[in-house]
This record gives sequence, C-alpha cells and structure tokens, in this order.
Amino acid sequence: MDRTLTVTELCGFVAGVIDEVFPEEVWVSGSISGLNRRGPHAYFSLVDPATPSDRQRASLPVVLFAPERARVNAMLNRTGAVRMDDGLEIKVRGRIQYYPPQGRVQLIMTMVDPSFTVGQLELARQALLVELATAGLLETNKAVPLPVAPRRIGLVTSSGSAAEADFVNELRSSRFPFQLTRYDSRVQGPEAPAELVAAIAAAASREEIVVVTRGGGARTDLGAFDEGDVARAIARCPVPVVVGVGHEVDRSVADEVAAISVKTPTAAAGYLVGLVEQFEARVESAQRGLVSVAAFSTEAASTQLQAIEGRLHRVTSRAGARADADLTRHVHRLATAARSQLNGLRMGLGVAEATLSASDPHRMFQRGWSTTHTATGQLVRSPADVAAGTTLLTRTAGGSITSTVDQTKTTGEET
Amino acid sequence: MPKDPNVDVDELSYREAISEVEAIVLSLESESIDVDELSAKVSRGLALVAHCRTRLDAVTDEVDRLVGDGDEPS
Repeated sequence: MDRTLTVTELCGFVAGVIDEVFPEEVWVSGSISGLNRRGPHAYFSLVDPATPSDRQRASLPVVLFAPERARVNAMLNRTGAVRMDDGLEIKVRGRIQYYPPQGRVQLIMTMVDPSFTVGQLELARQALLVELATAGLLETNKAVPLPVAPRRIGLVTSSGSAAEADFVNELRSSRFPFQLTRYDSRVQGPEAPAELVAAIAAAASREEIVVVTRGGGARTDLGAFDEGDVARAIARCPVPVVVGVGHEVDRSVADEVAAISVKTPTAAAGYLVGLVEQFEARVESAQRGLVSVAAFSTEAASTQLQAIEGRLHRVTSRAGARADADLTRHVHRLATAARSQLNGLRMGLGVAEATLSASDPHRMFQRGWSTTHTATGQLVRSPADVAAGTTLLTRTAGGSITSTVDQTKTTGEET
Repeated sequence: MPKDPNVDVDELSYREAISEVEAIVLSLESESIDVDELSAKVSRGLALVAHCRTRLDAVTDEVDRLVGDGDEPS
C-alpha cells in the first residue's frame, strides 16, 4: 500500500470496518466512571470493575444524547431502583461508533437494563449478608442494651438535607429535652461509605444512641448502606444504632445489622420519642402500681387483721367458754368437796354428841340408875366399900337420898 | 392441844373446839370419872359440839352462798 491516506480517509475506513463488524446495537456491561451530565447530554466511561490495575483497565466511552437520555431516565424512573452514578455496574445497549474528531471508538447509548444493576446489587448484598452472618455481626448491635430513655443523640446524615430537617423537626416537636449532635456525612456516592464509617465512629464515642438516616431515593442511591464497611461500622458500634433510610420495598444491609430499623428520618425520631414516652409511662405505671400495691397491702393487712381478730375472738370465746366450764366444774367440785367435808364433820360431831349423850349421867338417872357416895364423897362401887352404919348419899334423877347402911352383902351371898 | 376447858366455848375456833371434844370423848372412854366431873365434861363436850355445829352451819351457808347450787355444768 504505497498510497498515503488522509486522516479523514483513514477514519472513514475504520468507521466502515466497525460498522461492518457491529452492524447492530450491542449490550455491554461495566462500571460507570467519570459520569458527566452537565448539559443536555451525558458522558461517562464503562470500565470493567474487577480489573486489578487501573492502567490495564479497559475503558469504553459512552455517550448518551439528550433524546436517548430522556428515554433512559424515564425507564429508570419507572423502575425506581437504579440511578446512574460513578461506580455503579450497569448494562447498556447502544451502537458502536468510531468518532473521528476524537479518534476513538465509543458507544452511543440508547437503552439501559435496570434489572441487571438490581441483580448485581442484590448478589453483592446477599454475599455481604452471608459474610456478616458468618462473622456473627447481624446480631451484634441488636445485643447492645437500648438506653431506657436516651438523651444524647448522635445524628449521622448529610448536613442541610431534608432528612436532617425531618428528623430534627420530629425530635423538637416532642416535649423531651434531647441533646442532639450532628455528624455530617455524605450519604450517597463513592465517598459516602468512608464518611459514614467515620461519622458513626465519632458519634459512637460520645452519644447514647446513634441515628443514621437519609431520605428516600433509588436503590442505587442507597448503595452506601449496602457497603460492607458501613455495615460493619454499624454492627460493631458500641451504642445502639437506629437506621432510618428512606426506602419502600427492600431493606439495606445497614437495616439488617442495626439495632433498630425504621423507614424514614421522621420515623427514626419518632422511635426515640417513643422510647422516652414508654419510659415515662413505665415510671407512671410503676408509681400507680406502688400506690395500688400500698393500698392493696393496707387493705390486705386490714383484712388479715380482721381475720386474726375474728380468730382471736373465737379462740378467746372458746377458751373463755372452756375456762368458764372449767371454773363451773371446779366450783362444783369445791362445793361438793366442801359439803362432803362439812358432812363428815357433821357426822363426826354427831358421833361425839352421841358418845357424850351416852355418857351423860342425867340420862342414866332418868332411866332409873343412880350413884351412891359415902359422906366423904367416895363413890360406892361395891358392898365392900362400906360398913354398917355408914352414911350414904345417893343421887337419882329427881334429887338425892341420904341413908345409913344396915347390912352389906356381896354378890353370891344373897339368898 | 385442847385449850383450857374454862375458856368460853364461843371464843374457840372450830379446830380448837373439835380437838377438845375429841379429848373429852377419849377421856370418857378410858378414864374413871366422877359423876360430877363426868357431868361437867359431858356438858362442856355438848356445848363444844353445839359450837362446832353452829360453825358448820355457818360455813355451809357461806359455801352455798358462794357457789350457788354448785350443780354440775351442762
């Protein structure tokens, strides 16, 4: 080939070859790099994500002209899951074209496949969840005890964002004196993960509870919350983390590892207010409980006292009745014994009286007996006691007789 | 010991009186006593018995008054 071509000729030739090789549109996947959407068109490069060295990394310029950009955006908005950003893995369709003014091959993008990106994200998410579960990190932050009434709150979010305003407004509308400290961090884009990790660490060292939040967005906007570093920072946070990432359907990995997961920044603030309200209610309930316990105790004690009094009364009554019966019995025995004694004595007296009466000489005299004494007063017991001529004094019932002894005769001598 | 037989019977306690009665009865049963002495002893003994009976009656009345009928409780 001795003919020297002009640049235009050569470029036209290359373009023709490329058109010949790629007569139709092709699908190509890769990571977005250097996204530029200033102006009506959008420009970025597709690169292979897993290439070890950037210098070796293949790169394909992509151009998204305004009409196609509008169509692609409409498609993305319909799915709501994917938003193009640097680092995002994406599958696009377009026509391969050689662009002579810049001497490069580029893809004129006409269509995007959002399901590819979602699938890639989901694969990565699942892999991360398995890794976290294996490391035991899914339950780590949930195991941190929740403060019963948190006061010092660390808010990790993008400064000046609507999410921050929502959270702060909700918190302020409560009547509780929360001490809120803001820890600014981007929540989207390539720098978001590192900033989130740093902000969470800073907040964890000072606050009782950390809130990580952002407003709603496409699934790919929330990519930072599916990042391993962020998930691990939340899981290992020494204080409980409340994640409130605006999303409707899927849960991010951050949601899975956090102690508490709610759907929005407002809900995150509401959760904290609810905690304090619950605490307040528990305190009030405990107070009421104490009062009612005290009242119940008093009432129970009173009832118990009455029961004891009743039993005491019954016991006393029974004892009284028993004592009464005992006493009556004793009195009876006393009376019986006394009367028995008295009767005995009376009988003794009767015997003594009878004995005495039997010895009474007057009664002997009444029955005809008499006693005879000598003049000297000696009792005459036998004829031998006297001699003839002795003066005798005889006592009888009616009086006495004086006589003189004529003759004496002893028993046996009488004829 | 029985008190002096000359002491007024009414001043004797029951125990003193009955002791004297017992002594009199014992002497009547064991001794040979002059009729006059016998008469005096019997008279004294009977007075003592009467005194004792009066005391017994008084005590019986007192017991009845204190314990009522003294019936066995039902």
